[in-house]
Amino acid sequence: MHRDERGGAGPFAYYPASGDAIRDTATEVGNRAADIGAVRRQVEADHRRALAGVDGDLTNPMAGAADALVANADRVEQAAWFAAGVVRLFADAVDDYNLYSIGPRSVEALNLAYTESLIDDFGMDAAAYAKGGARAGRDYDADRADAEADLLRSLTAEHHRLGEQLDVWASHAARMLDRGPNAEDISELWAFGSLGSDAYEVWPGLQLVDVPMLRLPYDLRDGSDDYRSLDDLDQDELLDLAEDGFEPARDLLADQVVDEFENHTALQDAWRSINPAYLDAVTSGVPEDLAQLLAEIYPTTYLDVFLGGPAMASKVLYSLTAKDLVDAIRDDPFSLRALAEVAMVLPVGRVGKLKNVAHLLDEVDDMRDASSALRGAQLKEHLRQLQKYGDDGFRVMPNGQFRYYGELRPADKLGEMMGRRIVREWDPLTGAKRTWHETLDHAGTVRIVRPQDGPEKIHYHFDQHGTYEGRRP
Amino acid sequence: MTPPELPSRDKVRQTFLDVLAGRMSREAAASWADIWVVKSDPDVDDFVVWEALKDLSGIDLRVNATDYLHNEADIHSWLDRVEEAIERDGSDPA
Repeated sequence: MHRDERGGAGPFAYYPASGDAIRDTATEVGNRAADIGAVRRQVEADHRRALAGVDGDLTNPMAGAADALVANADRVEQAAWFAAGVVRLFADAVDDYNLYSIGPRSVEALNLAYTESLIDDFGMDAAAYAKGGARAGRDYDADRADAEADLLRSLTAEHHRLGEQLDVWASHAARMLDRGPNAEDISELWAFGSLGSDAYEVWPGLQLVDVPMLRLPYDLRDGSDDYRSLDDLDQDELLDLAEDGFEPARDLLADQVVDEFENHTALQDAWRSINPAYLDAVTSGVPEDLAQLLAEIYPTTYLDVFLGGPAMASKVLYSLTAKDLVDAIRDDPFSLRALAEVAMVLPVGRVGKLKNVAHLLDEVDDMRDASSALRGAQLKEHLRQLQKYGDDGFRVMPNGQFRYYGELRPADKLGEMMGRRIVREWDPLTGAKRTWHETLDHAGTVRIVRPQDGPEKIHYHFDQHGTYEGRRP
Repeated sequence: MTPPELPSRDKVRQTFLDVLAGRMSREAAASWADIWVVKSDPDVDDFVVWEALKDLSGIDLRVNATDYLHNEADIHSWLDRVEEAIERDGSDPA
């Protein structure tokens, strides 16, 4: 049995050093970096004082006197930061190995799985081995040993994968240390939060603030199990960090403000582009595809409404009021708003017939149902016509009638005409339909129209400019 | 009056063949197809039959007093489409 400082016992061994112990090592290395930084800053300060005390010819040579030392100190400090970061990266990997890994499970989780199974007697049903039981006559202890062996085999395989995972991180960390500080590895350490939160000041040329952070810097975490990234923080937390001078938090907050502004603008644009017919259909329970068709048929948007003058606005208001009315009355049956809306929705002659509020609600519901049913029926018919006759689409004519255009049937014969198509016209108000053939020339101009509905089939001819020429059988 | 029986793939195929063989006039074939094509609610569910009926509906279109818009090659291509569908899915895919 293995037992770590947290008391999680089981058959699988924890890594000999805990993540925290390894991080302590990193802290020592980091402290050296801090020492080097302090030395460098002291040199710079002393040098500035010395520079202030010299005059004339000595000024220029003195000005560069500390540069080499400072540059060297920078490199040493960066190397120490880097080494500490690599050690922290490995410490995080050890924490995953010991405590947090999910797939494969950590040592703690594997040990817990074993312990729970042990408590459950490895799933054995002792009663089944009693006389008369389903497994009577079998060796309980042998079966139990087999069950434990099966479990251990499975858990050991998972533990092996966990170990391989840690090996990968260990090799990776070792290679990083071999390579020494370089832009790519530093960026990776920053992304994993293994460098301190002010690392972007240590490597100002690398623009680390622009590198996405997969995990908070170790010194900003709530604990070793804090896997949040900057994006996971709420606005208050971001504000705290920003106030502490953490530049990525300031940048993120600024981005969020810009996003909010853009979203707000987009929302306003979207609102303007909302199609009232679509909205009404969706809120009336019409399926999405039919609602979209309705929007195609009545393409007016709210922007059109507000630009289109009072007539159009009143039409839209009417449809919205019908929907809102029920809610308004239910909310407060005798409110002025409800009564005003009643007056708007119901024809004047019918208001006097309303006996009570319940009746009123029924009336309004009926109106809405009838309206929805009509629209639903019309949409179905439209779809039917579109499917049968609208291979090449449809148009809504100014008089409100729909025309569906069939696919062009080309004519093989050489000549002025390219082919013909079937056109179907439907009047949604009356339900009337007409069908005809259009013969088109090679310029796409309709040259002959032949209605199909009557007993007599007349061809109406037009010239290439669309001028009517006459009729022929 | 009994409504006409819904056309089948075999029936539209035979109609094309009859027109090509001169056993049926183009006008008669178009009038037959128009029963469904101009109907308020054309209850033809088979897409192949429906397309063939629309082909037949315009088989008698004229470009002038003496000439039809479509020649025999057009009719053969329409017939081919129906025969390919029959070969692929059978006469009655439903």
